[in-house]
Amino acid sequence: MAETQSPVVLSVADLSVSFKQGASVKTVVKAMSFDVLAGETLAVVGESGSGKSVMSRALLGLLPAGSADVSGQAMLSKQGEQVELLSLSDQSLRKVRGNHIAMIFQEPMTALTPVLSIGEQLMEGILTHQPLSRSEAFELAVSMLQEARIPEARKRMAQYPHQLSGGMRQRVMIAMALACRPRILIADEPTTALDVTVQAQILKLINTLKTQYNTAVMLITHDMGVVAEAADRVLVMRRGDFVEAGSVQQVFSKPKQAYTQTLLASVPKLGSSAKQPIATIAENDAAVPLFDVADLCVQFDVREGLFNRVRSRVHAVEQVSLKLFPGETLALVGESGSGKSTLGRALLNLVPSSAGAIRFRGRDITGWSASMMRPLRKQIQMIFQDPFASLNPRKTVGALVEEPLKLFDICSDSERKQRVGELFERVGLSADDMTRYPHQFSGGQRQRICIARAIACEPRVIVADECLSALDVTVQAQVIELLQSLQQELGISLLFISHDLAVVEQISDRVAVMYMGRIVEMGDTARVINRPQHSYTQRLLEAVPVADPTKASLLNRPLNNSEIPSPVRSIFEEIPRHNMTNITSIGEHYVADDSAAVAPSDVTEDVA
Amino acid sequence: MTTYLLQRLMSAALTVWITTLAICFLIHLVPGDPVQIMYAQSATTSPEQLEQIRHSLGLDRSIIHQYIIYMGKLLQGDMGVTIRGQQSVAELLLLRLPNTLLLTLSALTLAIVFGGVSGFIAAYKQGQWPDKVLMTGTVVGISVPPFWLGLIVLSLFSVELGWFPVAGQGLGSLVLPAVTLAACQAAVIGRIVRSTMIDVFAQDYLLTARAKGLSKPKVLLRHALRSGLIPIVSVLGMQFAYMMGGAIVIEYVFSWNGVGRLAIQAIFQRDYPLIQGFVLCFSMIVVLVSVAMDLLYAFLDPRIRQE
Repeated sequence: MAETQSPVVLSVADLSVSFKQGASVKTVVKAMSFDVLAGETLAVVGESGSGKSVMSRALLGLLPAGSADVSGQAMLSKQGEQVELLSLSDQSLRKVRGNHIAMIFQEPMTALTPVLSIGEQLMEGILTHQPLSRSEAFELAVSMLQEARIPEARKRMAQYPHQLSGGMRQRVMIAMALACRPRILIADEPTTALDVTVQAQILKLINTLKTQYNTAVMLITHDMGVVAEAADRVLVMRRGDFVEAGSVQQVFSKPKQAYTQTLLASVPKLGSSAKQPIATIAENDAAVPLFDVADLCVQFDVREGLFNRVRSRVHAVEQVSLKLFPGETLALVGESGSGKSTLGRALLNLVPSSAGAIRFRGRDITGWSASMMRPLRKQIQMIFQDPFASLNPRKTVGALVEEPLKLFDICSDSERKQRVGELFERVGLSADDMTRYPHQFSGGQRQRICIARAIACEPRVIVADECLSALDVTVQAQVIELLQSLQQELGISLLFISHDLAVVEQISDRVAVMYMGRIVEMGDTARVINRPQHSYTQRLLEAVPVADPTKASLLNRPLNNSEIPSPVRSIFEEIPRHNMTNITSIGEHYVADDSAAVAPSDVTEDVA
Repeated sequence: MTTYLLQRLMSAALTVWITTLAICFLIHLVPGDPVQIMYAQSATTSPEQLEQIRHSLGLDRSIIHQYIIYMGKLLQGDMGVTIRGQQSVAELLLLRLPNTLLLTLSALTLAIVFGGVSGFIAAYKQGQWPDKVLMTGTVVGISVPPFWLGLIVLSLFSVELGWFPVAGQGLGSLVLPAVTLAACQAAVIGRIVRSTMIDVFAQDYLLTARAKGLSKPKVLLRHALRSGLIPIVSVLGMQFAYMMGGAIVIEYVFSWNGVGRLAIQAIFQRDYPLIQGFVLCFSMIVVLVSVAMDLLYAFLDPRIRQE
């Protein structure tokens, strides 16, 4: 497209990075060569361990000096002269960092220094590279915050990072990175930690400023949807190796390499993959629901003032009613802070509920103590998001999977080992793996171990809290397949908590969309996703990036820059009754009556 | 910030009040008759005199009544008189207190400077030889009992080498006890600073600061150290309390004329009013210092300062 007209700003040749690990040397980036053109977005795509982040840090000399060995060439053209980055001293490189090449990172919550004000952090970068007075730097910083569409920019200068939301902090990072008008902006997974609606805002912002300043963007990401929406050219990496490169259209429509094809095929695409309904739940109404929840509320006290009195409460879950039937998958979807995880935990009495009733197989279990719940735990299991943190590192994985069998006295001592072996094979691992420790497995394998542990005592329900979010797409696809086949075989119900609408569409029979602690829309998955009725569901679906450059339109749409309001309410505030209406006669499709109230009020793009 | 401040002051007042309760009832925890034990060494005291002393100490009244009298006097600054010599306890403590504060505060300063610098260097050079050397040093510092270290430095630097006076109250005499008292605390602070800074060095925001093109001192001091100070300051208050305890022994070893040495003498002489006064005085200092540290903490942490 732009390959012939735009000048090359950065030309990388034979870039290799290796790390010394004791006596051995591990090469994580192998002889990468590529060009970055002025004003284009080059997406560097790869799964975890592909070396994409390490490569970008190597360009700026940000890798630990002692252990990393960088070789090759990286020519940066600035003001007509060529500079070879990799051979520069740290002192000369410092003049490039933040000045000619700027970076933003994945985690906006931790990327800003907590003890310095936003203004100080913006101004120190400006003052390092530009011959400006403090007051000039201040004005430039304010105007950069305005460019980044941060409302009340002048007031933000004196604020500290903890006073801003994740999306706002990422805007500050962008303002900071672009303040010195760099030739290249390296954005390392800039939207991965953000909710989809915020992700859309940030991608659009980066794109607008890129055009405005003619900055080249190196967008490092694992998300093919983001690539299709935002990139001009793509560079695919795998385990440090170059796989292929080309324009977005080329790579998506005619991927040359088998790996790129697998990668693209693994991406769940919204609106394409409806789940086959399970036969056993055809007559929903006849079956006794496993979970029957009515008007459930979970509130957390906020203590304030001199005497720590409760003046307000976080309404984490607000008047939620739902049913989970045997053998079905119900997905809870929502953005961070919507209360979906809290709801999942409240169902198991892991967090105390403040009002409403929870029935499990017809029995009222509301407010049951831990000891009363214990016999029931056998029937309800959980899988968590982080497979690294949810396995005790000091126990063998065999012992971990065996634990529930022992606890609930499911089979005799002699049978137990054999049963664990069967479970390992059932989830696609080998029985020989039993004697190994968690750190010897990859993320995907660990999640399989967690699944084996969850199904060990043959539960009726599994609550899966974001259990796929930490996995690469190709691994994700395999784990989805495993969960589905297990469900069909064992008839387990799944309460699937997720923020990813495309995955939810693949896996769930019914979906409940949560917003500020309430379910705003609930019904058959295909119906809710294809014909969303509630304004929030519509907004959520619109923001999902489409992994198809021919359909990508996120950057051209006007975007709502509003943020999710706070769920903290005063104790004196009256909470309106939450009503939902079924809008269909066949099946179910409940929509909250407050759709108009939640509708985006300010569909404006420029807040500044 | 004001709310935070008021909460701290309230809990400080509560702590002091609980201490007065403990002090007042402490005397009854002694097995047997406190008055007889106090005067056990002087056989000449007659039973009538003992009764009179018991009455003057208020020990013949109910516990509640005793506490009310004790507090009433305390609020007027009257901590009673010593059994040996009938001196005012408050005056005696005030006379000796500056010496103790001079010793503990100079030891604290030394400990912060040495512990802070070595912990920071060890964290920066994590896993390399400076880290290993410094951390081995801290193990020694923590393991060696202060009284033993005191005797060793005393015999080495004062007796053998004659660099410092063996006893006395001048600045020259301050060096050895202050260093001895600081040694153990410097080791503890060094380890705390090291682990805190290792944590801070791994934070994303330092990468952001480096990617901005800031110089190394700016990254290390402005971004890393300022963030690291918050958790470090939060433990300093407690470290000071330990140090006050250590000062009692050190003052005795080096014959430093402070409150701690006075307390040990009082304990040997069963001088209860003096012991009570000493305990109250020490706990008030510890409470004051921890309030000061809490204030510093709040000032350093914008999350508290801005409230």
